[in-house]
Amino acid sequence: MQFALARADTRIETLGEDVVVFNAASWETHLLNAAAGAVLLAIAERPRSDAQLAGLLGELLPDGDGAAARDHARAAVGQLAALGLVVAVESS
Amino acid sequence: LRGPGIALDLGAARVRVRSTVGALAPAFRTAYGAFEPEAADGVFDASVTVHSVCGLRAFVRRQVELAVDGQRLFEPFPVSSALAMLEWGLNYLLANRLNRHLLLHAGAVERRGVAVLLPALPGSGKSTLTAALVCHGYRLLSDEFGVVDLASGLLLPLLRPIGLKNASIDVITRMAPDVRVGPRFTGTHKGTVAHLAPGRRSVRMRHIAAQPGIVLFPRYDANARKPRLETIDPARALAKMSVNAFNYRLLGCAAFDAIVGIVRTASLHRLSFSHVGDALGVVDQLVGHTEPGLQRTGT
Repeated sequence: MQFALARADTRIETLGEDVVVFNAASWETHLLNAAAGAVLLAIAERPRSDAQLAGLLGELLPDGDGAAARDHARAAVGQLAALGLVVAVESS
Repeated sequence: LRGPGIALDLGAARVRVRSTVGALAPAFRTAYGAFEPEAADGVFDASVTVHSVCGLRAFVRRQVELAVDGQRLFEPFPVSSALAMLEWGLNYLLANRLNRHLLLHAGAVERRGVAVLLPALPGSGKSTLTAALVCHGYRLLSDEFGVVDLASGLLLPLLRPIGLKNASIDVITRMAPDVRVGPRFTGTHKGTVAHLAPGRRSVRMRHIAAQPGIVLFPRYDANARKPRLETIDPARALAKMSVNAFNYRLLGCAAFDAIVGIVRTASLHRLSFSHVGDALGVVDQLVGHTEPGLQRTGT
């Protein structure tokens, strides 16, 4: 299973070190934390699996802790899904 | 103001005002004296009528009301507060109708081609600082509404009198004794209110838009010994501005894009101050370090 953007018209902008999103489904604006921002930017490029997202965050964590990266990725995807920004899709 | 009334080209909006209340005329003339009244035809963003209240109430106390499309907008006001009622009515109508633009709750001024946007919550000293900057030589773009053109991201002038409240009235009249401040309306739901009239230069330039070079979130802090200027990051500025806008949720993505454009290019600050005179020097310094950008609008 992979995660993809829920809507193609979601606006994602990087402002300095932050990521802000206009949620096209709810018309809410979200200011994302670093992990959620990195995950969403990656998913916006193309659908990503759990493992790919954990790998991405593992590169960003200072100590490269794999378990912590998996936890952060899972939490970020959960938050983004709860906001309606990402959805689970079948792996292609 | 009788008969068909008069039209006022405010820059980003055009309004028509009609009145059968003679007492409104002197205050209106003070507030809008720099405008050339136009024939009251064509298209208006708001068309309002101030008229006397008839019936039993009129015997007890002379009152006036504001009608829009034949409907009363507010409960009647004392006749002595007719201008205050008109100004609040126009604010209400423009906030609801001017949705071709992003409307921020903000003051906006310009000097040397640098526009300073002052978004703030009520009670933050926004209007006082805006008025002080105007008295200090800045061009007034607007008070109450920071009008952002969605296509260009430019700030559009929307020339209206600046509403001053309570102690800020004396602050401004002491600072600039020659400015045109209209009558004081006491006992309103906001206390004592008076209006600083836009000057002729600002009115003459009401179709010249400006690039927002500085976004300054003002905050009156009675305990601040000296003005404190802090830089804020673009994402926080975006969050504050989106909450601060009248029609952000109505415009959606277009509003998001417009604010992103502003926070990417403008310098972004928070200014706490207790003495408005001290704050002027801080704004002057910021403007002095910012590149100018003016453009004539198509309207």
